[in-house]
Amino acid sequence: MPPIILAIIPFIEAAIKFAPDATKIYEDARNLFAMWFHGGLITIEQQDRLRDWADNHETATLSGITPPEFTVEANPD
Amino acid sequence: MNYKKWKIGFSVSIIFGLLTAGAGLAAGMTWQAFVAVLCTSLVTQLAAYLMKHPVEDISDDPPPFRPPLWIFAALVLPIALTACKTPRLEPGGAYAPTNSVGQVVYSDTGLMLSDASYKLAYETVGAVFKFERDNRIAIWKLSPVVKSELDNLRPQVVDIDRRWAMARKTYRSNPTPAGLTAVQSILSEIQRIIPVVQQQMNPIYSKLTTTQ
Repeated sequence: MPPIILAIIPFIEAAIKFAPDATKIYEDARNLFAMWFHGGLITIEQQDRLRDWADNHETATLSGITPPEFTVEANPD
Repeated sequence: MNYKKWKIGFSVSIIFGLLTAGAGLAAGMTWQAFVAVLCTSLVTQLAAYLMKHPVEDISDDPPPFRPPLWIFAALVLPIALTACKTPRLEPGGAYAPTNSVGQVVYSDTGLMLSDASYKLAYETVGAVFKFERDNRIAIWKLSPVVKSELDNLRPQVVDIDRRWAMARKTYRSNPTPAGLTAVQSILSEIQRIIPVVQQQMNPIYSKLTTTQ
């Protein structure tokens, strides 16, 4: 296999792994834009979903729960 | 001329060529004539551009980092939102609860906007951290600096998050304008972190463009 293909395979794998996170952010951004640019009415469902996230996140943070990606870990060998 | 500027000029030439042909199409040209005009206008535009800026003039400097679209959206969103009218909350939602007879008890648009912006900012920063963590070995081999720089930022974000949670809890127990301002102030801190976090991925991008 050509070296350039071998070199980019890890990044293709990384992109595939990253896709769900990017999708989530894209959905958030799209919802926010929709709130503002499509009549500006925030539905009950949108409010409840956002409030659930914010309340749960607040509770988790105050309980000292930190997602693993936010913690400093040892360097790879 | 660096590659990025050259590429912009090249794209503009193509657009001009398409517009010229498009103008003919709009004027009722047949498709054969349209193809002929399209080819001619593209050749004319591109030839003129390439004569003035030949490929040999492109410098070998790697192009600057192009942030992904979602980071751009996260950065532009706060600015865009401030220019728009205040959204309305549908009565009965978590930010506009109603009493037993259906009257709105209170409507907290400020907290809703703050929560929405914070969620987007937090998840954007978290996505970069997670990307580095999920691909740590590959990124470490390319540039060990990325992890160390992100490790400097991780405790800062955790601290911001803890202060945001405390400020939000305080505001919810006693909703005052000053309390909301405190929450919004912390929100602006995490929004400022977004470009800094994104910048730490520059070495990866540079390495990739150099190897290609």
